[in-house]
Amino acid sequence: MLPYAPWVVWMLPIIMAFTHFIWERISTKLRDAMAVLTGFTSAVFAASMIPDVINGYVIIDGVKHHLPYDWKLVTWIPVPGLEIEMGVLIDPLSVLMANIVAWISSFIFLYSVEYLKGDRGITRYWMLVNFFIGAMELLVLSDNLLAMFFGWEGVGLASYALIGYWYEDKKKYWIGPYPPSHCGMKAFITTRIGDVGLLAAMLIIFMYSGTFNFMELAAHDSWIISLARDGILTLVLLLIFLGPIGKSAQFPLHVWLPEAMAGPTTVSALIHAATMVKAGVYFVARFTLVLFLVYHHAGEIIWPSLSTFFYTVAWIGAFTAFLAASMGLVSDQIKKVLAYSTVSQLGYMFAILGVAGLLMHHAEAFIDSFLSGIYHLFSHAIFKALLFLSAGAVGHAVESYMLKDMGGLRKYMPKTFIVMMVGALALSGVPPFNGFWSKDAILHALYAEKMTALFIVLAITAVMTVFYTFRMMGMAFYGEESSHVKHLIEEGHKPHDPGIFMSISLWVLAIGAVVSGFFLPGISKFFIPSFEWLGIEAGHYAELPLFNYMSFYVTTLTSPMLLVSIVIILAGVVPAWGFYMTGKWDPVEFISGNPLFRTIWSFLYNRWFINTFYYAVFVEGTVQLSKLLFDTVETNGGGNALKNCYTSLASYVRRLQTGYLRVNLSYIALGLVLLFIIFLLLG
Amino acid sequence: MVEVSALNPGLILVFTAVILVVIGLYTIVTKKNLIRVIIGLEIMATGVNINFIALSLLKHPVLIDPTSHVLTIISIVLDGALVGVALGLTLIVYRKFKTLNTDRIRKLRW
Amino acid sequence: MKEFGVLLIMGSFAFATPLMGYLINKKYEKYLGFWAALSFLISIFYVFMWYQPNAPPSYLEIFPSPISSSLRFDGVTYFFTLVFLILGFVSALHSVSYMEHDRNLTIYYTLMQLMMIGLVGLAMADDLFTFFVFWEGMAISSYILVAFRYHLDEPVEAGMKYIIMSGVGSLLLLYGISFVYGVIGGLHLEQIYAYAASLLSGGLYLPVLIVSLFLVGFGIKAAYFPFWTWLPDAHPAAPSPISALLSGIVIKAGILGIVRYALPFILIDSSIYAPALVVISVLTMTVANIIALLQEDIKRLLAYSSIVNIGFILIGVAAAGYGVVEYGLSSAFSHVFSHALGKGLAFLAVGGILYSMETREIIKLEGFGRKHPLTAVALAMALLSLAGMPPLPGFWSKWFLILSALGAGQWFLAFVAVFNSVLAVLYYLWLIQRMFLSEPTKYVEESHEIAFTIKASLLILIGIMLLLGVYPQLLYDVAHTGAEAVLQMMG
Repeated sequence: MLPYAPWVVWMLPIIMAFTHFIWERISTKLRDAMAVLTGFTSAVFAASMIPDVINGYVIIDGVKHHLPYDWKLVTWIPVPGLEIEMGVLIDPLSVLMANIVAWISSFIFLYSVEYLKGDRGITRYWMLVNFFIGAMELLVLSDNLLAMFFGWEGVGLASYALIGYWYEDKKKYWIGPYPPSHCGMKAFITTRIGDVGLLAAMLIIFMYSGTFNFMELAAHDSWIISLARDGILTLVLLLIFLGPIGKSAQFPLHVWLPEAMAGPTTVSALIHAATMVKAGVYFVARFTLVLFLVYHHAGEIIWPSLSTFFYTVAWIGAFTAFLAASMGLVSDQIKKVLAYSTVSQLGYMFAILGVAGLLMHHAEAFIDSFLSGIYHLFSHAIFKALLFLSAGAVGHAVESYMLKDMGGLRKYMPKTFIVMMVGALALSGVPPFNGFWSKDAILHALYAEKMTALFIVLAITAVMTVFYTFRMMGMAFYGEESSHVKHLIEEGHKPHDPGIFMSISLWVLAIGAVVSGFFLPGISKFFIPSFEWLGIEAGHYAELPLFNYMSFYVTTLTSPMLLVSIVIILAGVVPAWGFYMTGKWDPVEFISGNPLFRTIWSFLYNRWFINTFYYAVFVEGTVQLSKLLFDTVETNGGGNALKNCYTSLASYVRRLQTGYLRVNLSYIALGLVLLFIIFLLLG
Repeated sequence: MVEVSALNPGLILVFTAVILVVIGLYTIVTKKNLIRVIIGLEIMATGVNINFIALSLLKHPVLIDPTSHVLTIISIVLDGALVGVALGLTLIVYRKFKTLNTDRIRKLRW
Repeated sequence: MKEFGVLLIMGSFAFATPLMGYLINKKYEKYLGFWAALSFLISIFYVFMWYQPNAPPSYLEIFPSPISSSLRFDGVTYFFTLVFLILGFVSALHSVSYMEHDRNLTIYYTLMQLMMIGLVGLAMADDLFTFFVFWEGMAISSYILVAFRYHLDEPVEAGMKYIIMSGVGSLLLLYGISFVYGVIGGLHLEQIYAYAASLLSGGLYLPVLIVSLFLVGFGIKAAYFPFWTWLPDAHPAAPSPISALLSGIVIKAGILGIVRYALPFILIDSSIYAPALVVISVLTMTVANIIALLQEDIKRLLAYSSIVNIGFILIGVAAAGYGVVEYGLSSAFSHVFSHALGKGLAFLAVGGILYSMETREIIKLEGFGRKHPLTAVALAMALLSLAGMPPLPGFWSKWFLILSALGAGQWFLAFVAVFNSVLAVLYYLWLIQRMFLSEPTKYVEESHEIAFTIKASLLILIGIMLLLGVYPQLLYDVAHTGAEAVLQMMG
């Protein structure tokens, strides 16, 4: 490990974020270089922690510490009786997350250098994204809930500013009916609802345990037993889950994510692939580990609450996966398709983590499903970044993100087509791309543990995933050029492949999406220190196929699940092939020809009317309520009366300040005499 | 507390000092003319200085403690500096406002 | 011993200033600001280099008996010297551009350095008389600095009020000192603490007289209720860097005096003096807050906010008076620090505003943030810190203060503190909103670019504030060093 690596990883981007306006003065090139360099430096520091995790120990100041190691450097809040130490937690989960965040964001930074060239607010952009990454690294590396929450809020704040990056709300940057600044606000407020729940739960936990530290929470069970005795454990756990629901855009707080596409595509890639939405998954994974240990201390008394919690996690995940995928079927924008697919894939991760929690009794099954979730988190980060960045390249080239403005781009942007196809194949779970292995691991785990209902939902979702992915690819790259593209060509803006910086990032991620699938069992081995910490004996997991390169791939390719996978892929690809890639069938005719399909289409297109419902109830409701209040107060003079009362009070009090020197001096004399007399009387 | 004989001049001086300080305060509070206010300050300063000497006499009835005398001299010097600045400012006040009546110099209030 | 070299350094720099001003061309007079800043910077490093926190206090005898004047360097000295010098440094830096069109700059910088020597000296003083000499040195320099632009009406009137009121305060303080001398026979801190410890009851005539005289004498400098009336005049009238010094640190000299010399008496009997401090604190906060809401002049608003914050600092002192000495003083000191930074930054930012557009009316400042983002952000940050917004130092120190009030069992005081924090947020946010959300007024459109040294001084303070904000341990540690020293003296 490089010296102070975990600290540098999160502090460097935050500090550098506030220096960009200085570099800008010197040269804009220097500023861009500094920003990208910050990303890569932080990534190198993050990577330097990997060998330590593989070894299972870190050496700090010559002392060997076993993992997970809670490195406390400073007391953050020194108030006696409320001391909170600030530390970083070095364990497999945090190091893995830190690396995913740092590396993927670094390549996204590199990409943005070219993508945003010539934009007005680039300094602001760099400042925000660097801060964003720093906050995210703080979130994943911090050893206590409070610091994590600071990172959590920092990410939220930065994302608000980044989604509303084009705050001038020029029509060109609108996606859908709302201006970018509105979208930023929506993201912020929606995730805020979840944050409030998380904060409340955190404080309740602190009241019962007196600590925010993950390790201490895991080491003691008295807090959770008292929570269970007081009958609020279920409530607290569900409140905690509200945070991830908001952050990771799960039902019912998923509505902000499609609107979050209003920012620059690089921001979408950051938010969706590596940071922000992964925060929720990370937190659930982290808390599952804590709960695992606590459960094995505390015993069955907490199980009813835990099982409720994990059932909720699993089913919200599965339902969201289905819901979002169904919305993706009909979406008309390339970025929105990807946004829905992100929500849907996150649903997979939540579902499998919930299942892992439900299987806490059996160490093998727990490890099997937990690791499948982590696999998917890892591969999703890579292929989703790739897909977003290629979509950005496409949008950059055709100056629109509407699918109907594309078509036939394969000819003009062959390289982009190849890399995006790699991403699409990975997302649909086609072997040998990384998405196949991880999605298969999830389905396999569900099947092996007889979670039939979840299995069916997620398998159907997988079919839809394949369909909308290839629908998107077909509409963008196959078929006839749209009138918009023709118009561009006539004007001399022929769509073309991106330049060097964007291409580097795209190719690196594309290679990653292919290669990383073959390193998944490595992740299992990576997590061994965590399992040792959880007290699971090596005999329970060393023999699992997940821990062995040969047997993992052999089992995957020889099990009956492969058949299911092939059926899923075919069921998705064939209609997409027919409708969109070759154009054999006309989708418009197909849908409008049948009233049932039409209804479904409009239901899906309007996003199950959930968004409309929220707007009608919450936004309109609040506006109406405040109007009502305002009218009542205004007509009855309540508000004015308060103001007048205050002003007149102040205008009386301010007469103390007369401006007469004599009066001022008499205050002194009076004050002296009064003090003397009062002291004498009291004494 | 120190035993003091009634004949000790310190006691009289302490009361003198109190009277001077009260007169000074009274002058400062009641007078409107800036010069008179400054004179009030000076009366107070005299009272305070006398108090130093007086208390030294009470504390050491037989021997004379040089500390208080030295301190008094220094405080007179400081007082001189204060009055110098105050009078200088009075001059400027008069030039600006054409009056030394402090009641009329009240642009700053509230 | 070596840490006393700070006074020597500052003294030699200050004496060299008029000489240099005489020798150099008047055109370059303004660069004397760098000279003053250099002196403060070297002093900061000197303090850091030679002082070990939590070491036993060191002494230096200036004059032997009979004057028996001596200096001491302990935690309190360390804390206040640090706060004073940091603010002195940025203000001197700020002055270079801010004062460039004024005449008599040699005098200005000499006086500024003398004032700083007075402040540092009174933090170092071991006996009350040395304290008083430095006190007067600081006070007299500040009178002249307030009335420095004597071609204008406002500074002259404000300076006149300031000098008379503060002069009365000094004399009442000296009167109190003479009584201390009368009952103890010496003026050294150890003697005072030993005497106070030997008293069985606090209700004797002389201690009561001494405490009331001290509370008035220091109170006029610290500007709490009902002695604050000079402050809203004098602070806005001074040039902005001087306003920053006056509001940031000079009024803290009064708090220093109370903590050093009045606290031993206050601690004798918590039922006599502490309630008075609570009442003073409550009245100061509430009254000043109410008046501040109606201000239209930004500097006057900030001046009232200084009074409010002195009320906040008194919470910690009152808690100490109730016996929660260590925590009460730590919180009071941390608020001294955070308010010095916040108010210093606010006044310096307003200095930037005045430099660019020469108006103090809040209405004319609308939309300032769109034209001059750095200065406006600095002001907003200072105001948010004063309002107690996490993660800025003002939040932490206010939190410490409220906890210390609760620790002393003063629920009402804590409640008033929270209430006043909320009340203060009203006008701070109102100001910030005006600055950022409105369209720029024509005055703002006509404003010109802000000079580099002004921006540099703002950036330095922003940096320190962010550091302390995200790492409050530093703030608490520095403040705690001071509280520890008081505890050591109490034995």
